[in-house]
Amino acid sequence: MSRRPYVREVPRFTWWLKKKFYTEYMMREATCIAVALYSALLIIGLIRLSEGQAEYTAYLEAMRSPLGLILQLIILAFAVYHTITWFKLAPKGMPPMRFKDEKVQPKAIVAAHYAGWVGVSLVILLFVGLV
Amino acid sequence: MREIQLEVLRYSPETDSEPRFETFQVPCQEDWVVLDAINHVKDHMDSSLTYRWSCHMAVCGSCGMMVNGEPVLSCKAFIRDYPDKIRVEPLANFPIEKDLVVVMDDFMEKLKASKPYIIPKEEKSIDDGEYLQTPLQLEAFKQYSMCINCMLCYAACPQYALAPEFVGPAALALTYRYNKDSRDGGKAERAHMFSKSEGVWECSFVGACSEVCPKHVDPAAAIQLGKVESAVDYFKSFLMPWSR
Repeated sequence: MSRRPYVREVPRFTWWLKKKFYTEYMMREATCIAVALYSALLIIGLIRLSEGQAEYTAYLEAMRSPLGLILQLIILAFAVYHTITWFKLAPKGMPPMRFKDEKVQPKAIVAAHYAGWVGVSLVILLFVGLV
Repeated sequence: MREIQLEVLRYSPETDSEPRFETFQVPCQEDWVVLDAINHVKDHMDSSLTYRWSCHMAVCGSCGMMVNGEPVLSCKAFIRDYPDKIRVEPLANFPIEKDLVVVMDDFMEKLKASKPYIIPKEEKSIDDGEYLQTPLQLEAFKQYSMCINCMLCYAACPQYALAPEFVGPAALALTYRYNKDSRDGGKAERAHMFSKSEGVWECSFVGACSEVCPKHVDPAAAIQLGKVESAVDYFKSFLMPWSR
């Protein structure tokens, strides 16, 4: 009897389309592009601000234009997906913690992240005078 | 009694140039698992069907296979949870030895090199008594000690599929388990497997390993925590060279 193991090829570029779980993982990773894009928009805003009032006003108008708003809404959708998926994984990256002699449950860690998100959002909204 | 269509991937190294599917009509009892249906084929239809199994109670870790594309223990996959057509294949990401049997040499070598056993901090004679451990010290690693080496996590891991040199989820989770054991002093000896780039750093945190683990080991968590520890140790080696 001879050994002749058969190796099944894995599609190098399309493997992540084979399973929903893998596709969701790739989407989670891809959301960083949207986050980077928004960071770039903010940096452009800072540069425009340093150039003078007229330039900064033009920047704000561009951001408020339909195209600017659509772009920001798309980025927001990706950022929310990014946040939710990473919060879901947060317990896996945290060392075991104890509170009042009990192990802190993964659900509590995720809940704390959401609480932090709401808290920081409120502070920002207060700061810009929207609340 | 319910009749299912069991599609089994067959491969005979002596006669086949590549694997092919063979379909069996299997009459199943309500409480059967996929392994029972495969045993029925072996006993009554085709005795040449080759597969691994032993305990039939999700303890031995031998009967892992792909059922409708997902890596599962076939003794834990109830027929009632599946449609009438069930496709069974050998564990993904491993070469096929014959039919549903995979070549597990790569995993066995990585497991061995990871030194998944206690390397005592200090040797004690039997007269000195047991190595004691508190429940809290046990809790630090208990879930990772539940691994049964079934390799479902390797079959689920796309990173292992694309980069076979990756040490992989189970071996890394077991390394973490022994590193975290209060009786152990072998962390430095295991670092060559754990902290190298093909170790924890090859993991891109897909998290599929933890989803498919039948024993809730959560290898993804062990690997992420391992990355933190590996990074801290790296910087410590510069800041406190004497601590090596």
